[in-house]
Amino acid sequence: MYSNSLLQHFNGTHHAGSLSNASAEAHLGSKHEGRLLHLSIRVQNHQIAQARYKVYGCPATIATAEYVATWLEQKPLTKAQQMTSNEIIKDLQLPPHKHYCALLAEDAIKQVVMNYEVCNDKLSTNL
Amino acid sequence: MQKPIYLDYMSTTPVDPAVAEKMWQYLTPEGEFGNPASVTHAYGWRAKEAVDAARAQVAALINAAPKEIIWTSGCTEANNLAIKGVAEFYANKGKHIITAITEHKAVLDPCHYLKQQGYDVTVLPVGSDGLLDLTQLDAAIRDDTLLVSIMHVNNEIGVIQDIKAIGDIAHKHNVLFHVDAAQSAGKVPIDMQQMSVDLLSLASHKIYGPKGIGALYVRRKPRARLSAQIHGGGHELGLRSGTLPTHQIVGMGEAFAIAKQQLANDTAKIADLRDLFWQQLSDMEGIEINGSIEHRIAGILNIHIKDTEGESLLTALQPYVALSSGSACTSATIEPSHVLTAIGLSNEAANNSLRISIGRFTTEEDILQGAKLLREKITWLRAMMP
Repeated sequence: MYSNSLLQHFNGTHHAGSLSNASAEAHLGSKHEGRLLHLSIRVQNHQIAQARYKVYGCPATIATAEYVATWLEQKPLTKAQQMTSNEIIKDLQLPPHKHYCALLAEDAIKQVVMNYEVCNDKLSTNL
Repeated sequence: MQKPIYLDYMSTTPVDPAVAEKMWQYLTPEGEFGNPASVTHAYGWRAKEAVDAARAQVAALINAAPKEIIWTSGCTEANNLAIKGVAEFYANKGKHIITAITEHKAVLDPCHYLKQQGYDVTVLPVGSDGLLDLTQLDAAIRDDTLLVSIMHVNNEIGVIQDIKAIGDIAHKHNVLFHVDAAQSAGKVPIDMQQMSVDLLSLASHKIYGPKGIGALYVRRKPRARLSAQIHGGGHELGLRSGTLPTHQIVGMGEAFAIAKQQLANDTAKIADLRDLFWQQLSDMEGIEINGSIEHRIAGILNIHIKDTEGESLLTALQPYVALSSGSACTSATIEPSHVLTAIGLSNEAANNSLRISIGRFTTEEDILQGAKLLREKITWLRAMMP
């Protein structure tokens, strides 16, 4: 049985979708593993203006995607990477056999920020 | 709060109100609460009369003699008594048992236990339709084979094995044949005079009787011999000790009597409802029926829904519809159903499968509403697919 907090995020997938003008994306997981997470962000003035996700997986995977996208919006890029799987586990009360979902979400944040920075560095260099 | 629509009749069924009414009469001080083993007073005699009547009702559904019915706590115990009882009784004759990969854990686990005790167990595969290859079964029987144990109706995909043909093969080799009939009794005709079956496990709660009671049919002519697995008083011809739960037994008897009377009507109504459910879904892309369409019972639809994770679909439906999935998502590695993978589904396809099962109390409104909700949630999850 899942916590009310997790079920609220699972049933209220307000941030599901993709961004046509995304600043960066991260693609994690595989269908073979039973989970896929694509996280997109739009950055404005070093702040995450919008976060959206596409997801395939168990309820905990979907809920963590919604939780992370909600949390990321309006956060400065410097703060975004401070989110850890422990916080997700605690807030969504993930059972031990679902901790991997929080790790996937943490990895998605790290990767999307890194992808943004790499892309931005390239742009700066090219300029 | 409104209860979710119940479409999980293969898991368990509600007790038929007529059955519950009868059970109540064997519990309270005003009723027949006696111990059927008490031979010194009327309380015991009347309880025994009720147990004997129920034994006759259970026997009647499968065209057996009442003396061939041994009460157990359920079908799991009946399977354990049959498999371990035969293995122990005939241990000097041989140590080989044959079963199938799609059996319920209540058969596979006792076989696994026997393997640990030094027995040899052959687990036969099945085809993509879920049916056993009878030539393969024939070839697997050896001189030291004691028992063939094959289920009648599969609990996940509803596929009906050809029990008569399997029994004939077993008996051709003088091997005993046990059938787990948990999901078939009361749903398809069973005739112990026609089928070459020596031991048959029966459940009450799958057919509108109470939980906690079952039975093992043990053929008398020719007699199938067993070693008891529970000792303590010598009840049930010494095969299963323990005070008989009169109210449960009466409930099972009544449920079986109703099932015998209503089998044809129930089957026709349930098949219509199942077809109606499928009609509501079949135009959606990427939905397929798992297992044989031809050789299956009326009340089940096991479907694979592409790009729709099974546990998420079930969780989304939970407030509205009660169903079962094709997986046990209890660990980081999702464990797909051993039945679905045995018929050739990939792990992903098995995890994205649902079992819809329909019963006596399902209404057309349940079906239409359940199918509508299922369509909505499939569409919602697929829209989120990367």
